[in-house]
Amino acid sequence: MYSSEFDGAAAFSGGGFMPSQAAPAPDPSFSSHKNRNVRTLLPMTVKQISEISSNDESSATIDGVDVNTVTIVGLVCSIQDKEPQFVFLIDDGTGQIECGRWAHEQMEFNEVNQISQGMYVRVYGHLKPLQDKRSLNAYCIRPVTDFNEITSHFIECIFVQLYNTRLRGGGSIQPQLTSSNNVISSNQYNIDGGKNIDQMVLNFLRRPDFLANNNGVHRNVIAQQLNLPMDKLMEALESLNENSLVYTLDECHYKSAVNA
Amino acid sequence: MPVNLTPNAIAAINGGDVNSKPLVQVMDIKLIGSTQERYRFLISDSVSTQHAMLATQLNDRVKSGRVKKGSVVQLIDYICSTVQNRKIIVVLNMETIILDCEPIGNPKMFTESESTTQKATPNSNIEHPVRVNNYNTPIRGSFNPQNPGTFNTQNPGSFSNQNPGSFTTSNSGTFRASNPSTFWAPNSGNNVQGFRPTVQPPYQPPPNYRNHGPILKNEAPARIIPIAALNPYQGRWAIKARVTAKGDLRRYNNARGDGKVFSFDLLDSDGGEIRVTCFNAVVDRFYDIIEVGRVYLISKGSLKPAQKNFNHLKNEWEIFLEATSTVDLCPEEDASIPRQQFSFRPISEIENAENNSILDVIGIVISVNPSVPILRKNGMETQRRILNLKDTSGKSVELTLWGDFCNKEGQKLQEMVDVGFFPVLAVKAGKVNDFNGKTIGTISSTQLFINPDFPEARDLREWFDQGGKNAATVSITREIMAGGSKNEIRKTVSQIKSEGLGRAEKPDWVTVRAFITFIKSDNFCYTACPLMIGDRQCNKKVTQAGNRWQCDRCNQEFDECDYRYLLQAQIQDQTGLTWVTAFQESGEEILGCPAKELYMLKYELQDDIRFGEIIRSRVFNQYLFRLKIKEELYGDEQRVKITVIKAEQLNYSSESRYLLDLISKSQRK
Amino acid sequence: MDTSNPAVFVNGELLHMHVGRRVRAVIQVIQSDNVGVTGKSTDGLQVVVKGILPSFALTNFVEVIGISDGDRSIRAEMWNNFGNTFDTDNYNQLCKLANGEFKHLFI
Repeated sequence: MYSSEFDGAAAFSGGGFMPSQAAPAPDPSFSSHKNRNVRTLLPMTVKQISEISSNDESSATIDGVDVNTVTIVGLVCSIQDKEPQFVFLIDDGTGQIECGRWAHEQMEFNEVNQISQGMYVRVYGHLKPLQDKRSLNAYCIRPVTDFNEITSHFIECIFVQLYNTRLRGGGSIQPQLTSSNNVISSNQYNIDGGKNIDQMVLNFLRRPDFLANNNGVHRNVIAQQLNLPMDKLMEALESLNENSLVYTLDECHYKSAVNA
Repeated sequence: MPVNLTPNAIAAINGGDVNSKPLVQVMDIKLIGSTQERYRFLISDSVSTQHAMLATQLNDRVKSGRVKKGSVVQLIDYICSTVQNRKIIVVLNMETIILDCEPIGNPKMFTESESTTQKATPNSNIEHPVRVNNYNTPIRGSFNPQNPGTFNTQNPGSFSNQNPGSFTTSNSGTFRASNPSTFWAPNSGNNVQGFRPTVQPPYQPPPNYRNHGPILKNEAPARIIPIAALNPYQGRWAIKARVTAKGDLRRYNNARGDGKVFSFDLLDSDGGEIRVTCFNAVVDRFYDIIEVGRVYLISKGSLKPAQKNFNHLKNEWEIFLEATSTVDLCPEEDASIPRQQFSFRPISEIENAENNSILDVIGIVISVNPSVPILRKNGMETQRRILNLKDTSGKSVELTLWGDFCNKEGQKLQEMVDVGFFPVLAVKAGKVNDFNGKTIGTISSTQLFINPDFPEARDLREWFDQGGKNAATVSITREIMAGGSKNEIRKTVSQIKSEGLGRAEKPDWVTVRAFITFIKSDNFCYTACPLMIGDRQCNKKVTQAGNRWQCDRCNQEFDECDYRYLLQAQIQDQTGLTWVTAFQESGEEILGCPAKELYMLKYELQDDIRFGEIIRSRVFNQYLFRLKIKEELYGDEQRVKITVIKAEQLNYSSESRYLLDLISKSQRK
Repeated sequence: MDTSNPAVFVNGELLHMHVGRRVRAVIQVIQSDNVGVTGKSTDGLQVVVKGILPSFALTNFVEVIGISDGDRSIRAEMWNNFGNTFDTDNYNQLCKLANGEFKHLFI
């Protein structure tokens, strides 16, 4: 029954169906190729599960992500002993789904015996291939003890969907490096360009007629005369103001604080 | 009811006036400065405007709204400096006369060509051409200024100093008006309040230095100014301050030859601090004269940017004394200068402090550990002691003493705690370290004060003795916050690979929320050496020697070895899965029992069922994993190794809050 | 698999949006007798629950699943004890999200 080595496959499943997690990759390293399937563990609502698309019997996706292991949280509506497995009908408030739990060993019986009808449980499992209806092949069913877990699970469902549809970046680092190089060089370009603009604006404001003008020059005039976009001009004026080279009373009119 | 400013005051100040105490209007206020917060005013005398820098000790006036754009103020203490070929007025003290006022006059930007027409008006009657329409009552005696936070009061609120301290200022006493007529400008909208400005006698410097009018010639003695006003363009200056710390005399040898250097820190009556450094011959002149706690008058040094790596004082400048510098001991005690300047942070605030930041803290020492020799990276050995501080915030923190602190203060503290006495300890300039929660460590410029005579110390003592001792405390050390700590970087499993974590020179530290989905059950632990080295266990892998165990590092044999976790496990989240390694501490968190117990269960008792049950029950638990990721060479292949430093069981409530926050943030986009 | 009879997450505010439909809500029990249960919803409003009353002692927080009977009342079908401590803020936020942008994951 038990070899000296713990048999993950037997513990995690039964009945000929071998979920991928039970036979973990023997080589714990990163020398993997991009093509390997991404094996995910997704928190889901039964409603989401009902809407999973699948191209063929063996693969299913949701929001562009492979569905492997899923986890749901719900109430146990009924428990049926259908040897060699127990079938739990779980209602998570969005729908009901059948979860089959194989039980051969004492350990598995112990787990199942902890569950009773009307209890909130968390189920981890694998979606059974789509035949006439979707059901879960459960690796693990556990009672919920902290009811904040229920709230947390549904918030995770929301978050994960948000993540998969909007936030997920991905890609290798190579493209990022080159693009950041570009950013650095363009910043440098801006900095140098900036200093030139600063000087240009200052020179403009030091013209005798502007120096004599008590009210300063309106920034629109400066922008127009120097043919500068307003944001660049404001950058320059800010920088000159910081360095006490120009001053302004109303943020519209500027005057040189320095004599020519 | 119009108010008249002092026309041409700006021209006068540019011409060297420092005494006329003119009325000016603040046309604009701008916050500038990257290292140090500085406010720049645009002041107007109704004829001209000019930029004026506010001395930092007055920053609070702006922050608290006691002076704002449009305010009419009386300049009390001010000078005109030349900075980068421009003249800038520096305001050292002022008094707000009218808080809100419409712009007065039509001033023009002051240009230097106008300055020659104006003269300074030293020490004469303060004749202000100010008209007061309805109120003309002469008032004698002491004035009550609207704003109590002036330079010369007992109220320490004017300085940005968290510690009220016990300092008094040198000019306490009644103010005597030299001009019996007052001006009383009504505030628009307010019928009752009047603003009575403080008309003070001119500043009276100590007898040796009389102010002979504007500073025009080099021979005139420099006036004493606050340390906060010091800058390289200051011209002549003198400061009067107390030495708060004296560094060791250090000798060095570089390409230019041998040299020696020492530094000391100064604190003046305004709370300003600055470091003073002397090299070579200058060391000989001053090293023996400088004593901690004494007050000195110092002048003629050069100001340079402070070296922030070593100098943690709040000043962007440092003084370098030279051959011409003067350092005079002030024999009379000056009670206006405090002995130390502290800015104590409650321990609860330290939780959010940045790694490597320098801060002051005060607390009750609740435990002291023995001194332990530590081998440093450079091969030198030093001492280390760990103690714990607790304060009224309900938190405690681990304080690490290094080197001499262990033998001096550390030993003293140990003796006290051993006999059941828990002293107050004040730490000045401790360094925050965030490797394992937050700890504070001593550095070369740290100073420790046992049972100091501060108000904070007295408060702590009282609190502790009257119940604080038994108050519940949470340590900020070895406690990593769930999902909220600023130092935590959250990643998903797939991001580890997609972002190439671990491939840089230094390891990456990230937090991942994931499930444990597989635990490798062979070789989940190793046989470890149980012998102690200092206060730490050796833990090196031991080999079998007959029916005993042998440790190569300790060079000993023994019957019983220890068992420590070396787990390989798989973690998985919604983006993928990866293998990780977990050592003893995190292994115990993951498996919920000591490695030795599991080892016995599997190999001694050979109870595979129970063993399997335990492993089985720990799978599919969700944790916040704190991971250290680093690429390492295995044979001839580069592999990214992921180590679990901590496996924290998920707190659903706080994790939900974290996710809700992320959700709402992305919804706003 | 049957998604025909979901129970929507609601707080006091949201009850009126689902009158006649199956809902679920966590309430903090204020009073409980053989007539009904009065509780505080996660958004702080008072809710009255009648219908099938619980056959066991209630903890401080309970989940009630039933039919929304209008503004602030539910006709209970099922009760679940949620213990004496519960994060109502998070649950409240969940109710809003489950009736808003993420409705499609629930009903």
